[in-house]
Amino acid sequence: MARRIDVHHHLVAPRFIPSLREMGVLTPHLASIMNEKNALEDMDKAGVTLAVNSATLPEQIEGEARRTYSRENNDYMARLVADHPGRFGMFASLPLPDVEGALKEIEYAFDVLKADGVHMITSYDDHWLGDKIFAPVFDELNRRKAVIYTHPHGPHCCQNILKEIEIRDSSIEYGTDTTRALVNLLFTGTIKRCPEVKLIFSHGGGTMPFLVERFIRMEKAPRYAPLMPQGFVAEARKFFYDTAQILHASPLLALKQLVPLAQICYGTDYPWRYSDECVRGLLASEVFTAAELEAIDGNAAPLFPRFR
Amino acid sequence: MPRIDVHHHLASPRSLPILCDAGILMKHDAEAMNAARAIEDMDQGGVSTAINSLPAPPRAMIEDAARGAAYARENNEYLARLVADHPGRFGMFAALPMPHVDASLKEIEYALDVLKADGVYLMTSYADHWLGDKVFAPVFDELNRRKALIYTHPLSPYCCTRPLKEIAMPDAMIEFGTDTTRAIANMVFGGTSARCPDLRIIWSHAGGTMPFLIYRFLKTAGIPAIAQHLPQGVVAELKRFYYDTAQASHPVLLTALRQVVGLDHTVFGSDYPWGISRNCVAELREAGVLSAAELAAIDSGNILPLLPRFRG
Repeated sequence: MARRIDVHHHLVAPRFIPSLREMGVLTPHLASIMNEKNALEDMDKAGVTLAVNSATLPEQIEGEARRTYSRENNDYMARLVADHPGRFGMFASLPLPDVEGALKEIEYAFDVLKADGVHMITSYDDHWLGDKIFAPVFDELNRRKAVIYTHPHGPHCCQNILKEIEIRDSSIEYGTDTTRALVNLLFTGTIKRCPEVKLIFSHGGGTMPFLVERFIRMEKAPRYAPLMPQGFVAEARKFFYDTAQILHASPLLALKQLVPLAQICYGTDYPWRYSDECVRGLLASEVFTAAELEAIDGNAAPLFPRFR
Repeated sequence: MPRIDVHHHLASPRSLPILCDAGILMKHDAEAMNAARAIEDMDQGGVSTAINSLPAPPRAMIEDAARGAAYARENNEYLARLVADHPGRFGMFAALPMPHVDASLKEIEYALDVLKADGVYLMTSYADHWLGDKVFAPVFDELNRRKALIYTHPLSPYCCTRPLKEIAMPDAMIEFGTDTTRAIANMVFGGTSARCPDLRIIWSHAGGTMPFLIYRFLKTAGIPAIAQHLPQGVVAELKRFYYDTAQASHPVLLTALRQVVGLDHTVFGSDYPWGISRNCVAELREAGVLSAAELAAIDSGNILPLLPRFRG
């Protein structure tokens, strides 16, 4: 049976929905459909067999509350996995930038809840993934050969900076933040030190594919050359990239030219986007053959052995 | 066949030490920034004409109106002298003392009426005000009245200078591309682009990262407050702009750009002295995605109608 696996799928525990609405993270409509029932309906409509959930984790939730928020969401996600066999997986939330809290949650999420991977934001307090303050977390995830699903946000430097137009940070700033994280992970040597982690970057890699020429020019600098002996592109081709919010021939062709088809994974961004919208958008771009589209649907399967 | 380079940086001999002190130029960049070295590079790359613009301005010139005005004037006179001294080889995009609007209006008048500049040179943002912000409206209205050609270039914006502190990554690598995208979004979604239909604007580096973020642009264009500025839709506005090939000759970029706006407004740029003309020419051909006709159009066919004095 053909599988369609959605790696970019957001739910949160029902108890947190009202506070996310108050913070302005969710509109009333999003709040009304961010639940397992609506999610399953959306998945069924588009033939999504498995969605791997990640929780929206706004930075306004800080300190001890961030630990509680992560723990309760992880318990909730694990319940969804158990209650709907084969339909949901989970990327565990971590209370980063709290490293000690994150290490505890990694242990609990993998050893007790059997999470499929962890969910990390591309930056925390203007420290991007790869920054040395996160080294203990990456070392532990490397030891566990973990899957890391990353998601951008509007970092402190750049929140709502185009003040005169009604544009969301997701439109421009998210893409750049993903690129900063991906580049920082490679150019700090984190990936060389932690070669066992399996990274998924959202939204086709942010803006990295369009800036690739810049990174190719940097790779030969004496400082970086030992970190990527085969060059930047060889490293970029090892990561996974999801299709959320890039349903246009321009980004899809760029991604297809840059990375092997096996690294491109179906992702929707539910509840911000619907599953059938994503299926139709991929088809309408005319970038992929039917066989390639089917491959994209299932490319994430090796990352999730328990659903094989 | 003529080849015209729209992305070519020179500065007056007096400015070079200032730019070195500000960390904008390295010593070897400054040493390459003179007419003799530039012409040598152009000859090796078969570039018939380069339209000169300054490097990004030091912050002192952005923050101090009087210094900024003197700096722009001195450089504009230098660039005009190069045009006169090397007939046919150099054009000029005049520097403006932005974000200072009154001083910029004066410099527009002097540069276009007296120095006969080919267009003006604007940075994508000044002190975290992006092109298209209301504060710059008088400048855009005047440039629109003159049907001016505007060449734009990104810089390290105040918000985002060297954010990745542990790696020595120049802001040109990531932040420049985003700043261009912000300026495009601000111009289009804020209504300046539609209000000033006679402007011809060149965006550096194939439009920053805009082509890769086009799906987000299409979604943003659907927001009612924004849609009112886009009677023809966002893609129509994006197609009016021009895009240069500086640091953008990889097949992934060229393919993505083509999918969004086509290639009939794509123009050759080398990024001298950071780029070497003959390498840029070779890379565009080696990319393997451009036809001979497209390459010729990029070399000069697309830009010549905008540069009357070089039409020959």
